[in-house]
Amino acid sequence: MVLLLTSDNEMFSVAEDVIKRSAYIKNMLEDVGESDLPIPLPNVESNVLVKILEYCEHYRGEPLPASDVDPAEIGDRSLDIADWDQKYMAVDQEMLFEIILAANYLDIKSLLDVGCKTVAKMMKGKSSEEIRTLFNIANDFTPEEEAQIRKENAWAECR
Amino acid sequence: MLSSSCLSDVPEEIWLQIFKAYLDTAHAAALAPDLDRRTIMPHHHAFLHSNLFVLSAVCKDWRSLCLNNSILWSTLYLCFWTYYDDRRTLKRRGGKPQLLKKVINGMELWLSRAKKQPLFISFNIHPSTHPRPCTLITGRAQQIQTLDIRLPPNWYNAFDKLDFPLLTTLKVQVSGVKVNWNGTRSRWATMTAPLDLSQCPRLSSVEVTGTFSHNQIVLPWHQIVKIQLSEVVPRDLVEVLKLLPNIEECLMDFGGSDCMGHDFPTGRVRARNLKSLTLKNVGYKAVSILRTIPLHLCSLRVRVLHMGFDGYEARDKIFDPILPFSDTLLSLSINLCPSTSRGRAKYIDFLSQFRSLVTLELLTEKMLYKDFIEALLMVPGRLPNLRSVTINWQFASNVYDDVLLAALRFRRNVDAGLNVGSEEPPAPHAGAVLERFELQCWSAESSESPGASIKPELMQLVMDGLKLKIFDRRTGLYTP
Repeated sequence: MVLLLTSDNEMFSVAEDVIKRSAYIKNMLEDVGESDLPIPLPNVESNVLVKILEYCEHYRGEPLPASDVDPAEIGDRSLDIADWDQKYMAVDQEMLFEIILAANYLDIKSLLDVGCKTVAKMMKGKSSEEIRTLFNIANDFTPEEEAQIRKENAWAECR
Repeated sequence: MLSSSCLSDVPEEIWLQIFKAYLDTAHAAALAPDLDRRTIMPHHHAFLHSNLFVLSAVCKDWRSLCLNNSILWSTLYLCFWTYYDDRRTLKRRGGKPQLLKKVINGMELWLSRAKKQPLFISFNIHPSTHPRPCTLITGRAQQIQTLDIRLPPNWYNAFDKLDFPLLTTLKVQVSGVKVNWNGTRSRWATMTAPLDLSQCPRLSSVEVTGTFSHNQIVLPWHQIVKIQLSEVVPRDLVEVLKLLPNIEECLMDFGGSDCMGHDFPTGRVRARNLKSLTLKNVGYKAVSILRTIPLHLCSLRVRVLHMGFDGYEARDKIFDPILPFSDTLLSLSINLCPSTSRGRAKYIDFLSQFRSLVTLELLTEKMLYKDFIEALLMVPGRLPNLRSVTINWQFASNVYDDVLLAALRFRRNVDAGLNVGSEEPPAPHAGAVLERFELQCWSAESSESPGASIKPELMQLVMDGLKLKIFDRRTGLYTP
C-alpha cells in the first residue's frame, strides 16, 4: 500500500497497482523504493483525490500508456469518450478543471486527455460570446481590438 | 482574462491541449477514416461553426495562445457548397455576394498563421463555385503534408506536375461515379488529362474515390505502401497491384453491383510486402478473387455484397478451400451468412484452414446456430492460436447460454463442466487461451438477453482475465 497526503492533510492508503497509473507516483516509488512515509500531494485536495482514485480503480489492470507518447497523441483524435468516462466526467465545472489539474500534476495522461476532450466538447459549436459565458471569462479586448477581430471574422458572419 | 480562479490556474499547455481537442471536433467528421467520401454533399459544415477564429476572439489570453502556436493553424478543412453563393440564397439573405471569396480570404489568413508548419489540408468544394480556391494549395505546396481534395476534376490541372516535397498522404476524388446523399449514383465530369502527381518524393499513402482507373492519375507508384481505391473493376485487380510493388496495406472497394457480372483474374498476385488486404462489395460470384490474393497476408477483411438471392450453390462456393493461407493469416474479418447446415459445415471447413489465426471477426445477418459455435470453438485443435473472437450476428434466438459458457471455458482451458452433445468427457483445448470475446446480437422477443442466465459464471471468467462483451441489440443491454 502507498500512503498519500493531500493538501488539506487527509491521508489515503492506496494499492500500489492502482496509483501507479500516475506516472508521477510510479516514478517516485521507483526512485525512493519502499517507504512508510506518505507522499505529499500539495496540489491535490482530498475531494479531488477521491475522484482521481475512482478513475485509477476503474482502470486497474489496464495497460499503462507508454511514457514517451506525446500527450496530444494519447487515445484517438476522434473526440470519442468512453461511456464510463463520460459519466465520470459529469461533474461541475470547478471539479472538472480540478481533475484536469490533478491529472496533469500526477501525470495521468489518459485522464488528462479525457478531461481536455470533455472541455472541448463543451465549447463545440459555441460562439466566442457563448464560450465567455460558459467559463465566466471577461471580454478584455479594447474597442480597437474588437474591431480588428470582427474584420478577421467577417467571412464567417455572412453565413 | 480568465476571471474564474479555477480557470486561471490552468496552465497554457493544458489550454493548448484543449484547443487541439476542440479543433479535432471540427475536423474529425471530415477526416474520419470511415467517412463515406463518395457522398458528394456532406451535411456538416463543422468548420464554419467551430474554428480558431472563435477561440481567438474570446479574450486576450486565448488570442495570444492561438496566435503564438502556429501548429494550431496547420490543419485546414474547408467544405463549401454552392448553395451559399446561389442567387436565391443571396436574395433571401440580403444579397451578400461572393461568400466563397470572403471564405478564401479567411483561409489565407488562417494559413498565414500556420507559418512554416507542415500543413494538413482538406477541401470539399462543389463544382459550380467561383472563384477557384486552388491557389490556397498551389501557393503552399511546399508545406503540405496531407492533402485531401474533392474538387471538380477540371480544376485538378492546377496541381499537375506540381512539387509536393513533404506530401505523405493524398486523398483525391477522381472522375466517374458520384454517390449522392440519398445513395443514388450518377456520372460526374471527367478529367481531360491524367493528373500527374509524381513529384511527391515522400508520398506513401493514397486514397482515391470515384471510379478508379490507373490511367487517370500518375503517382510515384513504387513508393506507395498504403492505398484505398473505390469502384475498382475486378479484372483490373492484378494490374493495379502490379503498379504497387511495395504495397503493404490495400483496400479495394468494388463498388456494388458492377462486380457481379465481371470476371475476376485467376492468377495469384505477387505483392511481396502486402500484409493487409480489405475487399469490399465483393459479389458471391466473385469468389475467385480469394484465390488471386497473395499467400503471405497477415490480415484479410472481406465484405461480401449481399444482393438478392444468389442461390445456395453460389453462396456455398465461397467456402471452398483456399489452403495456402493457413500459415500466415493472423486476422480475418468476414461477413458471410451460410443459410443451410451444409453451408455452415463448409464455412467451418473454410475457417478451420487458418491455423495461424489470432483474431477472428464474423459478421452476418443470419441466425446464430449453436452447432456453429460448437464446431467453430469447441473442437480440439481447431484454430489453435485464436485469442480474440468477435461475432456480430443479426439474430441469435438460438444461442444457448450453456453452449456459450462451455465454448468460453473450453477456449480458456478451464474445465468446461459439460460437454455439449456428448457423454464423453471434453478433450482439452490445449491451444492459445482466448483473451477477448465479443458477441453482438438480437435476442428473441420473449427470451432473456444472451448470457443473462450464466452471469455469475461469466463474471468468474472476466475475473480470471477474459475481456468479455455481450451486447443485446434488442434490449441495448450489455452482459455481464
